[in-house]
Formats: sequence, C-alpha cells, structure tokens
Amino acid sequence: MPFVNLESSDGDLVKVDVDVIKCSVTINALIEHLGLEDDNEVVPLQNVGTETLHKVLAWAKHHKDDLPSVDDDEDDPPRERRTDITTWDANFIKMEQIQLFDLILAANYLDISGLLDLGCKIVADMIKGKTADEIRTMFNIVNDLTPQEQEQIRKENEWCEEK
Amino acid sequence: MASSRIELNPFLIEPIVEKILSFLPTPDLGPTRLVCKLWNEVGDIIERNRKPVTISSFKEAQVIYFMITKIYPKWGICSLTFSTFAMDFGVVKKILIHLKNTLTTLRLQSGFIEEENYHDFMRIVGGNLRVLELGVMHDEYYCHFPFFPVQKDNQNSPTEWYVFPKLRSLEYIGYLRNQFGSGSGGGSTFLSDVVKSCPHLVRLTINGMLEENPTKFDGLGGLSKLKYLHLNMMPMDSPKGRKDVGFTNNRIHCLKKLNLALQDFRVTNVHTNLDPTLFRDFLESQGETLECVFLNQNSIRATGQPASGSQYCNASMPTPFPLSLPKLTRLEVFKPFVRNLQHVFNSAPNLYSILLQFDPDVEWKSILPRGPISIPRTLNTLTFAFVDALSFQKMSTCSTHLVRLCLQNCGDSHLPVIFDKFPNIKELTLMEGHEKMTDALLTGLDPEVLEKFRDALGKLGEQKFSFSKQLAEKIEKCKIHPGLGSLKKMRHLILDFTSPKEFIILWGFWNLETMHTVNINGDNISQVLFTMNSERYIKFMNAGGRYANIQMHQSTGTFIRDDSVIISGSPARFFQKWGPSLTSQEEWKYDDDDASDNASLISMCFEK
Repeated sequence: MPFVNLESSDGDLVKVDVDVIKCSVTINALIEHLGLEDDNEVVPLQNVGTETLHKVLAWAKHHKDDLPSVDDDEDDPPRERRTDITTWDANFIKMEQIQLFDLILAANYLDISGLLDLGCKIVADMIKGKTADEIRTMFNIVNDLTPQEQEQIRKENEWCEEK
Repeated sequence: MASSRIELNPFLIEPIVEKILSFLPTPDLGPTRLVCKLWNEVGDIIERNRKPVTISSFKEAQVIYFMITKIYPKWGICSLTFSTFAMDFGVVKKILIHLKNTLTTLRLQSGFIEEENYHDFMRIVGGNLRVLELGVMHDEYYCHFPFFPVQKDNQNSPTEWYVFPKLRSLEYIGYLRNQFGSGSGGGSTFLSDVVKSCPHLVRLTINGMLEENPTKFDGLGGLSKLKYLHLNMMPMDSPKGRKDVGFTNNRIHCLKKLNLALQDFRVTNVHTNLDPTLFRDFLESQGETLECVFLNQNSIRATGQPASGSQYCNASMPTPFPLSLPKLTRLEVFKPFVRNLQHVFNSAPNLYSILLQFDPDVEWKSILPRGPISIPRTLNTLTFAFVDALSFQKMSTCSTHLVRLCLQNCGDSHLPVIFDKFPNIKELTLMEGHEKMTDALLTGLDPEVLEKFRDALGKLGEQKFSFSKQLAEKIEKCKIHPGLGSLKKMRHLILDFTSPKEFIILWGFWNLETMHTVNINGDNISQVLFTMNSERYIKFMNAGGRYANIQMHQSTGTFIRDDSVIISGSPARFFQKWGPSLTSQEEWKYDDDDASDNASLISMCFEK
C-alpha cells in the first residue's frame, strides 16, 4: 500500500495511507502531478496545522470506504440541502469552535467535500435564529455594508416575510 | 504556537460561505444577508435560486427569459410552474434550455400544448428533473394526449421511449377524455407507461387510475424505490362512462406487479365491488414497510361547517380490517371501512396516531365492543368527530398515554371527560360542534361569576388592572369543576370555534406554565388580543378577518393568511405583564391608581 508524507504548517510530518487521503481532491491532484513513487516524498500543507491534520485524517479514515457521494440517489428533491448527520460524525464534530473553524478551512483547502459539508452543517445550525450582529461577533466579521445597503436588504427581507 | 500558516477567516471565503448558507432554511437566510457584503451577495443568489417561479402568460415568459439571460445570469431557477400554458413555444423552449442544468421541479398546470412540443420540452429538462406535476393539458384541437411515454427523439421511433433518470416525484391526471378526439380515454396515461419512463420514483400521485391488463407490467421491473403512493379515484356516483371510478380489483392486480415496498399508501374512493380479501392481502404484502395508511371515501374533510348528511358516504365499503400491519404508526380511516373499531386497533399494534373520519349518524355503539375496548399502548394521538359522550367515556381508557387529542364537532359535554381522564395531554384541539362550547365549561368557573367578570371586563375596555396573588386564589375558589387549567402538561391549545370570548378562556388556564402556544380561530377575535402583541413574550402570528388592517408591531408580529391568533408564551406570563406578577411572593403594586381601582372591580367578580 503506497504512503505519502504530509507536512503540516507546524512542520510536523505525518505518514498517511494514500487510500485514506484519496477523499482530498487537492492531495490527489498533487500526488498525480508530482508522481509520488518514493515513500520519502513530502507534501507540504501550508494551511493545515498538526492538530487539524490529525482530525482530518481521523475523519478520512472512518469514511475511507464510503461510496463516492451520489447526489443522484437523494430521495427527496432538494429545495434545501439535507442536513442529517450520522452519529459517528456528530461525535467527531464535537469540538471547540476554533478547532471547528480550522477544520472547515482545512476541508476547503484540501477539497474534501464530505468533511466540508459536515462542518458547514454544524455552522449553519449555529447561525439559525441568530441576528446579523450575533453572527458577526461569532465569526469575527466586519460589517462592510453601507447604511443604504442595509436598508435595502431589510426592505427585501420584509417583502419575503409577508409571503 | 509557532505557526507559519496565514490566518484566514473561513467565513470570508466564498465557497465556504456558500456552502454554509445553502444549509439554512429560507427564513433563516434573512438575517445572514445583513452580515456583510460577501454574505449578502451569496445569500441573495441562494435565495433567488430557491424561489419558485410561476409563469402564467406569454408576457411573463418573455420577462423571465430576459431576466435570466440578461440581468441575473447566475439565477438558476430550480422550480418553475406554468400555470396556464398558452404561449409562444419558442420562448418557453429557450427558457427551458437555459435552465436545463438547474431546474429540478416543473409543474405544467393547464393549457394548450402540442404533443410534439411537450415531448421536446421533457427531453430538454428531463435529465435533471426531480419533481414533475402534470395537469390538464391539451392541444389546439382540445385533444388530450398521454403524458407518457415520451419519445426518445423526434425521429418517430415508437419503440424507444425516454427514461427520466432522476425523477423522484410525479403527480398526474390519469384519465382525460377527449372532447372531440378519437374515442374515450384517448388522452389517458397508463401506469405501465409511467413505470417504463420513471423507474426511480419515490413518490407517485395518480388522479384517476385506469384499468389495464396486468400482464402489461410483466418484465418492466416495477417501482421498487416507491415509498409514497397516493391514488385518488373518482367517486362511485360520477357520470357514466368515466374509466377511473373507484379503486378496483384490477388496480390491485396491477399494483401487485410493481415490486412495491410502500411506506405510505393513501387511496380515495374504493369501489364497492372490491374484494376485501384481495385488499387485505395487498396491504399485508406491504406490511414490512407500511407506516401510514389513509382510506378515504368521497373526500369529505371536516371544514368546521356543520355537516349535512349528503356529504358523507354511508354505503358500506369492502373493509380490509382486521389485518396485520406491524409497522403501521399512522392511520386515517373513514367510517365506511370501520365495522368494528376493535378490529382496526388490533390490526396495528404499534399505532401512534389515528384519525377516525366519522359522520354525525354513526352509531358508536355498533362499532365499539361490548366490553372494554383495547387500544394500542403506543397510541398518543387521537382525532375524531361526532362521538357521543358515553362512547367517548369508553374510548378514554387509552387516556394515560395520549398526548394529542383533537375533537371535532363534539360539543362541550366531553370536556369534563377530557379534564378528568386525559391528564397527559400536551396538545388539545377543539373544533366547532353543533353544541357550542361554553366559557364556563372551558374555564371551570361558576357561570354566574363569569357573567359578572364579563360585565366588568366590558366596563374596563382596554384599561389595565392589577393582578394579585389574592385575586388568583379567589379565582381558584370560584372553580366549580376542573377546567382547562387542570391539564397540567398542556403546551398547545387550539380552539376553533366562534362563540366563547377568548379572553375569558385565558383565565381558565392562567396558571399553566407549560403552555407554549394558544391558537384561536374564528372571527370573534377581540381587540384585547390585538393589543397584546406589544408585549414582547407574546408572539402574535396573525390577524385575519375584520382586524386585518391593524398595524402589527414590527418585531413581534407577522401576518399570515388565515383567521387565527397564535399566542406564544404561557398565560401566566401574560398575566404577569398585562395584569401583573403572579409568581412573586409580594403582592404586585401598581403606581397607577386607576389600575388598583380597576383591580377591585375585577376582584369583586370573584366574591362569593
């Protein structure tokens, strides 16, 4: 079984079964591009810390044998995306907010759609029922909307609520 | 931690934001638009794409086409409805081609369309379509045509039909008789052709199913993914010549060929000739999966109107009961199928919800066993109508597990039974009966006291009064029997009748801390409830009828379109605010002299 060495942004090396990390489109592409024959080859990941990398690998290992996601076989027509989460995933994702945010960043960078979905579902749940102010504080976002723009959005929202 | 990575905020990266927002239900998207520019842009696109679009004229079609091509190129409409189809097919075709990658729901409700164009449109968008609804369509000669099969290409090769690869949900009208066209039923759609064309259906609703030779289904593979099957047949007294009257033996023979494993089966209008054994065997063949069954006859839904006898089907219908459906949790059944209620309960030992749609003339005595009735211990929801007091008493043996009770047209003689025998009720719905519900029975208060109270309230109008612990105790003492307040676990109360004064009803359960919503329907909604919306904790959902022009408070009120008022929050908290504190040990003191004067006026009502 071929292995690949991943180097976290903290400079730590982690040896990973290629089969486990195949869910990452980014790493797959890198491996193909670099043609990693040699076990000592190192893939640097500037955007992923060691702790996060281990989390990603734990998730990837558990989902290694999952079938590729078949959007086609969803039973219900998606007006909103489905949001059910398996028990394993629910336990896995129980972590500090800052870790969760790093994990989402990593999933996005590594292009692991299943993990990104999971993280984003959790964040979406955190957002539900919150005001814009609360969301900005939670995610450290600066409001760059002009008062006119805000007024415009409020008007649009009102119109939606009446419906 | 020495980290060389660049600090990035994931919530300012567009693909991440897009993904997060895509998981939010539409009402939750509103506030996210106000977060920042990026969130607004992303949310705008998501919201726009989700919004279903209806086109009802040629002009609207042109506007939509202009918008999706010129103004909002990112607008990927996913749900499109043509309410009347009488337009330039060139524009429609261009719209469909433009949307073929995003359109998942298409509804053609009625109108003119050439069969050739219909096939063309289906081939354009069919590849991505999940939901398809087809109404009454006809060509310019008023001829209907079968919706399926759709030809695979325009080269007229009748042996090859188009298969919808992703279609999950289909609703169509099966029987359409051509007015001037060839023969009767010439425009009808056969189930076997649907099976051929849409093999992955999960949900199927057929309005009018035709007779077919069951051998036509041989070798088709069936509909093994189907979970929801709803068959609406024409009633027995339909005009002669219709081919979709009643659910017959032939229909069952056809269904048996489909390799079904249904979760939800609903049928309207069973044919009187249906073989009950065949019916039972069919239902039992689905026993491994079947969770929900509706057996309707003549589709009479209680509308709150007093029923006239003719609305109801009194004929005796072939009944599948008793049978064995171990997975069944939800059952709706009309009277014609129930001869012995015990058989119905025995059929579904794990039932949790039953709706008995009975008519006013039902002799409950004849369908209830002589001895005590045995009801599944799992049952927690019971809905029924027109029950006499004695039978209701008998049914109340299931009370201890029941959390949801809905009574329609039953009058208030049942109220003492409910208060006494259903201690665990969390949700109670009372709908209009022939006999009127009275404030006295609902509140448990002495009618004379109530009369005085009503007068005093009338004098006070909109003025406040102070509410003290002593007053609360006085009210308790004026109760002559248990009222709504004795249902200590109640969370939702839905009252759908016009006579009582809802404000007085509130006094009937003012001490219930568990109460979450009160929903009062009807046009007898008083001004008092409308003034309550300024209180933060009372969510005022609606104003219908004659108060529709009342201005809602922005932060608390929303309009919805029916005649109901929903109050969220316990009445105890309502009285804390409106009249004052109940829970604090000290008596509440008003600064306002008027309020305490008012209070003594109120208090006098409860003097014995």
